Amino acid sequence: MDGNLLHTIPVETKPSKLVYFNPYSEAEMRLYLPEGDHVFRAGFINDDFVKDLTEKDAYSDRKNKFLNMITFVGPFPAKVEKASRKKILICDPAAGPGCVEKILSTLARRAYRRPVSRGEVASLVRFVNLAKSEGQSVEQGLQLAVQAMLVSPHFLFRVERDPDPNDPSRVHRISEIELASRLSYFLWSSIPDDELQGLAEAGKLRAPGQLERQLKRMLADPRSAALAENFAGQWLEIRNLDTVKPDPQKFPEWGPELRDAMKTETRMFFETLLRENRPIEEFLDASFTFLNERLARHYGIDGVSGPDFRRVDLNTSQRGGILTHASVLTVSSYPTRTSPVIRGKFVLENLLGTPPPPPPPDVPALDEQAVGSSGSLRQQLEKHRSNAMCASCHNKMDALGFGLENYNAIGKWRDTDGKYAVDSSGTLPGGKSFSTPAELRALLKQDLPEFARCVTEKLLIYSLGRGLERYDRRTMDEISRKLAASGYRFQSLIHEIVYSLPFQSRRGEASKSQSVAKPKETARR
Amino acid sequence: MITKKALPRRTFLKGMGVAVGLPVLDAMSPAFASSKVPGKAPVRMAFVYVPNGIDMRHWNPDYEGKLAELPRILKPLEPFKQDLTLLGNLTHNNGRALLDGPGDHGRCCGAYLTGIQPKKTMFDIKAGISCDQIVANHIGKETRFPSLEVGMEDARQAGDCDSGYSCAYTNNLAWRSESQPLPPILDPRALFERLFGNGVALSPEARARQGRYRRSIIDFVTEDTRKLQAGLGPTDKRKLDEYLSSIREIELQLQKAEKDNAQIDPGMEKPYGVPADFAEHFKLMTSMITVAFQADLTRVLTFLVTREGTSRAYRELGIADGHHPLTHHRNDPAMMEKVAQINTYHMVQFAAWMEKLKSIKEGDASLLDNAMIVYGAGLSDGNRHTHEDLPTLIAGRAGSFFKTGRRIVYRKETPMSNLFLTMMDRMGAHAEHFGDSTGRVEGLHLG
Repeated sequence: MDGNLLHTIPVETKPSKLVYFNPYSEAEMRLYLPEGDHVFRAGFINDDFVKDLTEKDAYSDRKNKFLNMITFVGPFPAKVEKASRKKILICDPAAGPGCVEKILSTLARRAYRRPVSRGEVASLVRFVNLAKSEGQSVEQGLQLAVQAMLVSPHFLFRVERDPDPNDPSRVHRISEIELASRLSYFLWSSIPDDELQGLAEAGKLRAPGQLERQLKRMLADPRSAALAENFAGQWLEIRNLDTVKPDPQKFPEWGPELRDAMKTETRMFFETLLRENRPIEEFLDASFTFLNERLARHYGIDGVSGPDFRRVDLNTSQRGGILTHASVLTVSSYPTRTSPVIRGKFVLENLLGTPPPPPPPDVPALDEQAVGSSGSLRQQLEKHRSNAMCASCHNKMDALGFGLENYNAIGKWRDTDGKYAVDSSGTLPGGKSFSTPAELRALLKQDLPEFARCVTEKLLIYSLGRGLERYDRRTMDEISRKLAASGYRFQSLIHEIVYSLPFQSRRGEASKSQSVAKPKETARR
Repeated sequence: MITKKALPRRTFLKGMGVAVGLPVLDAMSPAFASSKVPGKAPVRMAFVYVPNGIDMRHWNPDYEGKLAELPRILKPLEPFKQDLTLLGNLTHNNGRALLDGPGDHGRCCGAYLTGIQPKKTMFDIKAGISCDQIVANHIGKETRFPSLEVGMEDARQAGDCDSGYSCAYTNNLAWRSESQPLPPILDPRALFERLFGNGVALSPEARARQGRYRRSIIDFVTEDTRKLQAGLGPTDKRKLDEYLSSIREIELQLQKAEKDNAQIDPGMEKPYGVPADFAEHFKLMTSMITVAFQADLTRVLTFLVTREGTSRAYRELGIADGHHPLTHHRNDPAMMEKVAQINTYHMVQFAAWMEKLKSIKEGDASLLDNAMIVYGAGLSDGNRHTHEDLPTLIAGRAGSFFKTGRRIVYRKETPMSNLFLTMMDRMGAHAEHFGDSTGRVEGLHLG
């Protein structure tokens, strides 16, 4: 569980190496699990027996014993009080209405992320009285009140008030309580903790140095892993690893273990750049990464054993930076093959912030499927680009993608693509050329200001929960300038966003004219 | 180590790396009283949508009128030929670019049931109320669920799904309002819980009490939301309006449940989750939909088989390439063959569901007779992104109303919206116009 060995069951083979296993034997174990999400793995360790078997025999129920499935049954009634229950019942509700009020006001303050009024508490206490009148216990009534809290708009929406909700010309600073929520949802994807909320309620969050201290504390807190999970997951499209389906014929090694390892590498890399306040340049090229045995084998890197991830210094030019992460290389490929076009588009869109315009109408997508029959993929693409209309965008897109052709559709290094040698050289518009992925990365690093602007834009959108508008340009320029002055440190970027005008303030919104605002339900009489 | 024999064998799945198996579920024994619908059975309306167009060479017969030899993709429907109406030349003009540039996948799906050209945007999405929701607004109060939205493909992506069109357009069929798509339920387990509760049988008293509790929570939330709405800007107000309307729907369901407190026995175990196998998933979803129709839990369904523009790879057919890239086949016969196989595979699943619906008797007729189920796509040729002659068939007689077993070819460019307007009529939701309708379609009815 979560990388820890919980239990082992010995499985013996007979000296003759002939096995007569019941293929359907079932082993059961009782586990006592802490609350929360966990990752479970089961498998054979020290399995010498299997190394003499062909792959086919390894999964034959006459020749080998293998794991078919795991079923979780439960939970069984707990013998000890659950931690979450204890957190809710901070006093004995049987002691009287005072305790019920205390429990509910404490919970509501957390859920609504602000102080709650006596009236609000009273309306929650009504649920306890309702349960009692139905002949049920106080605790059942509390359960009902918690249910109500969790569907209250005060919990489900982040409420930010405008003094003039219909006047867009009046910009105002958001309250400290609103700021605390913006901070915690940006960095933790969750509610503010006691310290943050306490400061905001006391009006001390904007006191000199305090916001800075809170930022440091929040980034150091394990909860900031949410930023890697949610922001990096979307920015680098890592979430799509759950839905991609590489062709099992071509990539038999693809499976949940490899997929999870890919995710973990990128997540830990992102977290490290964030926590150690490293220059964001390292996204484009870095001298280290995070590997476990499975992923190291995939990368052809020796000396990493076991399922645990660790920081590995790279002494190969084959890897370094997110463009060499198998996660990114896999989500930017087709199930059967690489696509220089998709990878090029990925770089332009997600790293350089210059997404190519969509293809003109009526131009069919490139015939990448015919590749292999009549020349290498590269040759096919070159042919495509002889069409001037396609060339204007594909020149740049494809060149970037060619530079990554040494990585197959699940990010493994290759020197040949089928019978053709991989040619990963290219020339970017403007004349800069490269002949290996490492040289491409070096070229991309020259575009650091563009990359920084791109990350800034994406992170700003994430932090605000809205798209950027023309008037945000000044903010973008300002952040870019300060970020450059800081040496492109990751935490400086977070800092500048948090201190920026759109993060710190809001304004009303003009009412649209009636005719636009009214839903066009043409079919209703 | 204890060897346990009690674990059900049938939960074992073929293959490795499957953490959660799925029981082989079969028949839905209708354990509930079928007398739920005394007298005349209601008409059910459903839309089953498949993405990326269909290989029209294997869809359109070369004749009109009485259905004879069915083309390849329709072949699985052979046993139900007499229950079908095949419609030609229906067009969604609002799926076309009309000066909005590329993005046919985003547009065709957003326009499909709304008849409106969706706004090209990734943020402030806007299409129109969909015809199923117009019907749900009219007759939804009769059933526990005004409508049901179901799908099969995990679609958590957000942002740009097609050349500047929000994923909201490709991942949803039903639109509650012009800005509020209704996301389909994908997980069989979630669908089960929505339709039948958590599977735990409660006494009538306990159910009644649960109803009173829920009502008190709804009152609480409604009051909170109303109070909060005062003093908000237009966008925030609208968000809360949408929230209020979804609360109101639950409230209506509760009211209905108060009148009819019976618990529906779905005749099946609660599913564990999303099966890896496409056919299994399809069967589970349609099994539950069938019960929902049968027990009159709802009369309106939209079913987004997979999301528009999907690149799902059909391993089940030994096809490793994604569906969408394959449809851009540029007339390569090998790729076109794979597309036709995918189209046919979808139809095989659909046909199995039709068989189920036909086997369920409602008086002298079958459940299928009392339904009108549109099966179709938002594009015809997925290679060229064409919006005319959209593949469209209707299964069922809409309650002895349609003259079936025929192919009707309309005048070119006949708006699809005309068909939907006609279907809305049949469901009792009469309107002057819908989407870009120019009238009703002719010739569907008996006599």
